[in-house]
Amino acid sequence: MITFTLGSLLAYGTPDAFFEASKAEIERAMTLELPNQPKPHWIQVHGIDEQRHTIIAQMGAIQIDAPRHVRIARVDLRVGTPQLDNTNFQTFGSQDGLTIKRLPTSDNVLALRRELWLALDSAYKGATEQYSLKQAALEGHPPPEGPDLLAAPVVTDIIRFEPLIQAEAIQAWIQNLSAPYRNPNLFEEFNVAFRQVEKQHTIVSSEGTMVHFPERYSVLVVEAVRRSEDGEKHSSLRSWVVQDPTSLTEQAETTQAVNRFTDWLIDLEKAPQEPDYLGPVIFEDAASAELFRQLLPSEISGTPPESEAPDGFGALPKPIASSRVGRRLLPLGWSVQDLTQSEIGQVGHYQYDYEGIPVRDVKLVEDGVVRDLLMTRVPREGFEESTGHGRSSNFRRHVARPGVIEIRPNKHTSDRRLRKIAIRMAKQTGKEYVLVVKQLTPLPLENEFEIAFSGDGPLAGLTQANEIYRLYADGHTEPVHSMKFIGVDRRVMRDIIAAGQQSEWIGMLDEDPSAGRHGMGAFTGTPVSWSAPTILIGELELHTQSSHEQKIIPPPSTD
Amino acid sequence: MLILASLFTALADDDPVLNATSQEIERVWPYLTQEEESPHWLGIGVNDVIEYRVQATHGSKMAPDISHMRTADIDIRVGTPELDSTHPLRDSGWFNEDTHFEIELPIEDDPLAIQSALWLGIDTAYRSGVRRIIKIRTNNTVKVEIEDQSGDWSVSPVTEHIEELTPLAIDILDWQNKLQSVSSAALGYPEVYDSFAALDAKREIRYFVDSDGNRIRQQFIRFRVSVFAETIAEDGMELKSYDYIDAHSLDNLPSVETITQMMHSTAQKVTDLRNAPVVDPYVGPAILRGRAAAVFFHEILGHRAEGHRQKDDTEGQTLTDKVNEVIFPDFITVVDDPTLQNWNGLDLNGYYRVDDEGVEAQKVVVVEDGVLRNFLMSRSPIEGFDQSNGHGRRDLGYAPVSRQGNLIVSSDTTMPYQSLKTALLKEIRQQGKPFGLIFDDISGGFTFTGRTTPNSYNVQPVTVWKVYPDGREELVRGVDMIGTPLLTFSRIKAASEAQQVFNGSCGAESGWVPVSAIAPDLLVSEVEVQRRDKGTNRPPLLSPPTAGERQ
Repeated sequence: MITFTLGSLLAYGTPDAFFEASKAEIERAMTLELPNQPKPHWIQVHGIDEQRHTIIAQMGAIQIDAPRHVRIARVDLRVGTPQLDNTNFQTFGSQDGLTIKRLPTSDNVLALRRELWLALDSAYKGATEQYSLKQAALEGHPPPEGPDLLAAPVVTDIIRFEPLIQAEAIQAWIQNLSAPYRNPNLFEEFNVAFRQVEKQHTIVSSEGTMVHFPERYSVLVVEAVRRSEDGEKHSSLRSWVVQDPTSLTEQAETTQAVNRFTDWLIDLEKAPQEPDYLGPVIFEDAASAELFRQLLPSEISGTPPESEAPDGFGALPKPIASSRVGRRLLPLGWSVQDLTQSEIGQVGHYQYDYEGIPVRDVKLVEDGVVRDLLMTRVPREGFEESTGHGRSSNFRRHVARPGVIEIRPNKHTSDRRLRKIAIRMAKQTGKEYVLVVKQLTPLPLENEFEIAFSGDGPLAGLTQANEIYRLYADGHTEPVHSMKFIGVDRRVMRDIIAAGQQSEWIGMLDEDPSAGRHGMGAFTGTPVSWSAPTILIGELELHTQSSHEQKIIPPPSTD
Repeated sequence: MLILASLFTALADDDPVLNATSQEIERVWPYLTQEEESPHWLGIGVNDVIEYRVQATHGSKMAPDISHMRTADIDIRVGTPELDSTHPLRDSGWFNEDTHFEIELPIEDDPLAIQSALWLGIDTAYRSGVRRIIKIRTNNTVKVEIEDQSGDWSVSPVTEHIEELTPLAIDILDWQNKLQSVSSAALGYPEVYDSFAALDAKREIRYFVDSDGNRIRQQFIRFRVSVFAETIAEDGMELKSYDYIDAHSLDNLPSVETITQMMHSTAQKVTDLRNAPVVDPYVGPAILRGRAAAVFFHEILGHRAEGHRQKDDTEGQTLTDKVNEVIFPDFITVVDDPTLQNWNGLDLNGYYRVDDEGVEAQKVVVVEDGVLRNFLMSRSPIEGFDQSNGHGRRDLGYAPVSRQGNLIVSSDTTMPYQSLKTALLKEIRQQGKPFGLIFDDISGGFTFTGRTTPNSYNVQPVTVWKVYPDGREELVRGVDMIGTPLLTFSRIKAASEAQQVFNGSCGAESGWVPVSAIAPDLLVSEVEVQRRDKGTNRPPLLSPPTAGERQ
């Protein structure tokens, strides 16, 4: 086994070489011009110097122990004018002004410049072609309202930090965490996946912006699979996304949380299978935060969808943004705020977005109605200033995305009262109990295609409830097998009947909703933080899908 | 920093991976064989692979890429050796069960964790095999009889082959410094837009254990130093040149001076090619220099001599009915010998001692004095060839099929290269052609062997020279060599004394496997070339940045 810390092999360079190389090549590239074609009006070079260490263990034995250091440049070049350029437009398979290039990790200005020179050349040619496609699409149609790129203040700032990757300590901790579950007679699978990420972003633009800032987070996913005697397969997982890995490894809560969910799986042995359910559902705080993370982002992102080429009949499609100011999203009195700027301790916090714009807090929903939107430098009617929320996790178009989101009701009901209301509503539909969702499968880890593709049935709309139980009127509870939702959409948020205690900040990884967040995987996305209260929703539909397949061979002995 | 990939030099008896895999097969076998649909064979190949890549570009270091992974390939055969669950399902749609399962194993030598992972993989593989054999029996009843009536599996002697393990030691920082220096050589070639120098190092431990009692542990250590240069011609043609040397030990790698020279010559080659004229489609005589001839034989003969192709009704089966018939001029002999570790001081990629089905590798005479004699066989028998000769090979994640190892072409009658060139000039004049061609270096090739596509090949040269009747040579670009196998076999006229080695990787049904091909320079009376696909991008609009320049 190879075990070492990449940090000791290659330290981060200073931003000076990257600044110098980018400035020089941006200056040269601004002169690029093909005959009778537009020149660049704006260029941004975004360098991402990333060190990460991934450790994955199966049944407590290390399966992957992989350090990695990579430096990548994302070059964004726009031709035309800020009013009308090659961006915010898509055609299938076309080129655009974005180029990604892997860079040398040593701070050799000439070597960096050579890579940027090629990347900018390719970006210019792609942007020029894309611009002509956009012009062709607009031929015979009125020009679009509003500019393609908003003006923004020039920013210069350097935030230095020292990366710290502690792979050996994490590895030992993972083995300790797994030790009690190393028994294939108890758990068919027990997997722990951990990744620590330390990034340095360096952004240089033709306007003169030069910023350098860190992004750091760690991800832990613990998954267990157990098969009961009748062959039914039960699985569940927990995931954490935090700024500082020691907040996981030095806290007893992590181990306790793993103990709780593995106990839950063992208890499912005797649990009944819930028949298809229609009625009130309580989402405990963690499940509630996951529900909002799945349903809310596209309602609060102001980035307009990209325009498209005319269809075969010459009609220009008009993509419609999900978000609408004035739409009622939540019950009266509820609010949603993005607190990315002020909640400094949260993993979703940052100071500059990927367009080099300082982030600011935004009151998005007041009294249940959308009042403001998260914005990038791409405007929409009535929103002509970036809020500093332009990010992307796949190097593509920057989209306004949440950083730190707090959802608050007008009043918090006690858990006891909330449960009482839920039971009363259940009784009205002839049920003796109400279902309570303790955990939803985190969106990036859902592996059911149903979330993305409907097939013959209605869309689920939410990931599986992987920990769910019945709550009876006398207060006793009974776990049931995991269940799937049917037909959930944003309207269920308006159907919230009551709110309980507010969750702590919960770290997650997320992706741009328009890019498809389903099946992202444990380690992809950008970090976000959410806080939401326990909620009671008036009516939801859930059903069970069981999987029975007896193993032919008994598990190996632990002796 | 000196990195030792493993200090572990376990004796076979103490090898936790080998033992855990053997024990799991022993443990599960009684359960499986008491089932109504029972397997007749279970084999597990475990691959432990450590890889490093150290690279530099434009005189600057890239971060190294390092990986260590361990996977298990599980093959289970439900049914009987005559008819089992690996039998092809004909015209049966896309969504059938796999015959092969790949799972990831811990890299830690933890027997319980390894056995737990294998247990789940074997159980899943067995269920898949049962489902598949049910379909196969019906498929065989519904469809016409398959042409080759041989069984699905052959018996082979049990082998125990355990190799010593040695660590893979690389001084990464030292190599970064060396390659940084090498890569700066390309900066002297302004028309070379992109370039790199790299070292790839890999240690692969291949374990194989099966229900017959085979126990194999082989170690492969491979190094490659490579240089790459790329440019774009004014007409948009992307010109790339990649040069490399493969070796089984660091000691056999070239010196920094030699690698620097490789960088220079590679950069010079693409610079020259950028200014070379494009050759039009043409038919005429040619010399294939050794490496080009080696790939040529790998494509046109080697793939067609792979045993499983003689059995598959969808294959073109060019050679199936030609055993003991003349297919080449009588001075040509071709063998495949995976047991050969090196050739004239050069390490061979296609070397192995035991194949991926637990059968000892054997030297196979494929063509003797122009006559087809044998096929490369895995444990899947074909009519007339019911035993494996140790050529069942696979990449991680694939089921083995018969593949080439070290394909060696030799000639009874040879001549010095200069005489071969004189013979080419004579051939040009005799045919009344304006010129002939010399294929000097190649990047690779491919061939189609199926029935639904033309049974043709394509060899992709990097350096091609036009040779005029007066002996003058001119570098040209932009062509691939194409043709069909049987016709091409008969066009070989003469061979040179010296043989050259092409080390590479071959991709086919069982994934990418390392191979070598060795051949002399060949005079071919007629080859056909076609225009190569070229890019459409203009060269960069601005000149490259240079040291000290601000704009």
